[in-house]
Amino acid sequence: MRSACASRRALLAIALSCGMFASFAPAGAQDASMPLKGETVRIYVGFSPGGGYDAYARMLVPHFEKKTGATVVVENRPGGGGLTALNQLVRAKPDGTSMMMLNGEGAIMAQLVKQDGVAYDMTKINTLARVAHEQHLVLVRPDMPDTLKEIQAAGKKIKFSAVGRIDNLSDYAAVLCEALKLDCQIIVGYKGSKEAGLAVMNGEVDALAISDGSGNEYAQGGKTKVIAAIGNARSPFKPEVATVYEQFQLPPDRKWYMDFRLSIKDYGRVMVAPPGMAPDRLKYLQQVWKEILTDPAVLAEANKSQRPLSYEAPETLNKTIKEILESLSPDKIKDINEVLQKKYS
Amino acid sequence: MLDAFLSAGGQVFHPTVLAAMLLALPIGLIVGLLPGISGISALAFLIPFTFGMEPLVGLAFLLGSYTAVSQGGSMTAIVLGIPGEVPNAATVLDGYPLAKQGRAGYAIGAALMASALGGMFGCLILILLLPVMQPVVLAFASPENFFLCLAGIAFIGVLSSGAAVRGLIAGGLGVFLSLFGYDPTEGVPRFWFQFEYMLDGVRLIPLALGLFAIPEVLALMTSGKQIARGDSIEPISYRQGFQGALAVMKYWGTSLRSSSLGAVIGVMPGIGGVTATFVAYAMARQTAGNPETFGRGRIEGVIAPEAAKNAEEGGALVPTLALGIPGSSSMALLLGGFVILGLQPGPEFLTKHLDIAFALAIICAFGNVVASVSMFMLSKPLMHVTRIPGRILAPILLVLVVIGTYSAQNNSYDVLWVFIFGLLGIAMERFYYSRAALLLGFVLGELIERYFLVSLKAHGPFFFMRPIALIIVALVVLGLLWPNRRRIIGLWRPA
Repeated sequence: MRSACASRRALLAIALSCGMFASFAPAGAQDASMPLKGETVRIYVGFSPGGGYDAYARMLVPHFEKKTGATVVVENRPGGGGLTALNQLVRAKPDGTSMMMLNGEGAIMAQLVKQDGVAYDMTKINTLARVAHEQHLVLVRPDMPDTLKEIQAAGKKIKFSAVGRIDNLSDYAAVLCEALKLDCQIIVGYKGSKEAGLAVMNGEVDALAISDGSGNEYAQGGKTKVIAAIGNARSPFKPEVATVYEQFQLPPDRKWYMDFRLSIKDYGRVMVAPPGMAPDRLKYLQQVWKEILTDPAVLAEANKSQRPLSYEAPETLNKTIKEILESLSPDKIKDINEVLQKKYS
Repeated sequence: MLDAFLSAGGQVFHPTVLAAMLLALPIGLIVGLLPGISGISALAFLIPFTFGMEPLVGLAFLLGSYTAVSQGGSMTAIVLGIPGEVPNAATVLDGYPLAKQGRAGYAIGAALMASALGGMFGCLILILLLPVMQPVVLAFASPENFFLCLAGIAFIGVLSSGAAVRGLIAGGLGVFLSLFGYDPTEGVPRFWFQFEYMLDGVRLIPLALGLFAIPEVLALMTSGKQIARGDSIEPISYRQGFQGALAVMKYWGTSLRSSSLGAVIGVMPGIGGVTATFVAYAMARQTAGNPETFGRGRIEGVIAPEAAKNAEEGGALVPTLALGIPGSSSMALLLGGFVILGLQPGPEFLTKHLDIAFALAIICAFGNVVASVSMFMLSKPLMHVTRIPGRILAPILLVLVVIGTYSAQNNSYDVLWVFIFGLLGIAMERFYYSRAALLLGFVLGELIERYFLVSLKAHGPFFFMRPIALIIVALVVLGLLWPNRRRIIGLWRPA
């Protein structure tokens, strides 16, 4: 009896020590080719669960885990339209265990117009890869004219719906109105882009400038119609709709605002890391994300869940940020502020 | 149409669909029972599990858990006086006093029956509105939403039993608290004191849990006694529950009115469950006899918010399916789930997948009933919770409240705020200021500001000259004057 008990105890001791060894093993077995193996990586999302940023992050996590051997936790840290999470990321340890799925366009715009609460510098943040970017479409009520030319010729006031003063919806509406010299009023205050879309459907406003995926969705069933694409190329969702640049020959001074806003668009939804990261770790992460975002299987999965990917290398994106944030004169920034925030309010 | 309905029925009662739903129900019930953890968290947690599922199976899984959450939430509201989800706060007002009197089972029975019937009513509305739902949703623009929120504010005085002025003061404080952080239209932060957390102002979950949970935890801690006390404590039995369920039938008018109100509020995107439950409660109080006894354990005060809450969710499916515009924040998440499953709600959805839309309505109705029945089976152990000594229960609750608050946004400041608002809650309870009125003022303050400014900009100063807006105003005035109708008619008649 006693010996059975003792042997059971011995077995337990062996099992326990095996368990302890197993639990320490991943940290000990860190090899140079997989520096994050066994680590816990946090990917911040500046919005609540269920939004586009959250969905993108959660879609990519299993692939990142597979490639790096890390355990990834998606942390939703909503607040300040994504600013709070980015401010927190900047303060995180730059060892590759903290990253953020960022609304890059919003972050650049907020820094540019010196929005309250900005405590980061986009030129210092480490860009890992662009995950996706979207074209924008102009949607109008069904009883509005079919082309921007007719709307321009009618000379009537057009009301756009938007969420805040500086967000994609109101920015694109403002640069469109500025480029075409339209008489516009941008009504901000809608809770989200879907509510802004509903406002066009129920006739509360006349038009909306919105990302092509959502715009295409709202235009189904004839409650709204798409009359133009804002961008250098047509939207894959609406290839039959011409871009504003195709429909109009714009003088350079008016075209500038639209070009400027479109250059920020290229930054899109982007994966970033805190400033001050060791070069080899940064290079490793950039490579991992490149492999994930260009993997045909991942691309197919993304297309299936209607969250298409469009990888862009960090070098190109960094160049864009520097151009936008460092080359503009204070007067030009003042102009941009005027057009985006005041002129059409 | 009938074909689509029959096909939907056939699809829903397929073993895999039913199995998915039954698998999800316990998860929903547990999430609902944990204070502060909302249905949104349950959906966010479950969505990844639906990868690779057949669309209807996946949707049954999501909706099944979701319908169960609110049933769980009302249980904690009744048994512990702590709302499991923010809209359940209205159930605390009369449900908790009943639990204190040792009649938790009675309140639980009524809440579950009202939830089941309300949920079925909401789904019925959904089925009836499916073919014509687009014009209904589109008839409500910012001015209508504004007046609906204003209607909610008008009922604040009603919420505080016998102390209308104190109710209004509390409501005013709620509106004041809603003004912190980004303003809803221009996005300029107000009163943020250069403190990053305050950019988004006061958060709903710390406020609701602080106001309702902390005072109860403190009371349990200091007295050390069980929740159910008093002279007439009834023995724990299912009988109480059955009596409660029968009460819903007895007060069928209250159930029906509250369900209709809930469904209507649900149809309008952005108004939300908190408004639905509180306005339903206030309406029940206005239309019942002896309104001054509300807040001391009237069963109608449990029935009304519960019926409205579950009907609201059925209603919220209307804009989600018809226009692809979520009727509530949980619906926004559900919409994400749809897309993952390869379905795109919106105008085309109804022409292409009418059967799935009907199937969802059936799942929603069925889920409500099954969740209520399973909760009823759990009601006996839940009633025992009210008999646990406070010194044992209080620390457990405190831990749950802290975890619930933290998990909402992964923010430790939220936990700090729960205690700050807890102090406010204790003070309000001590001096008889209605905590419900504060919460409603807080929720509606932001909405009123938003819809007022948008209405003004989009429709000009005469934005109220719209038929539905005027009808809402007329109904509110009628609702407020209803208890005094005899006096008013008396004034009208020549002496």
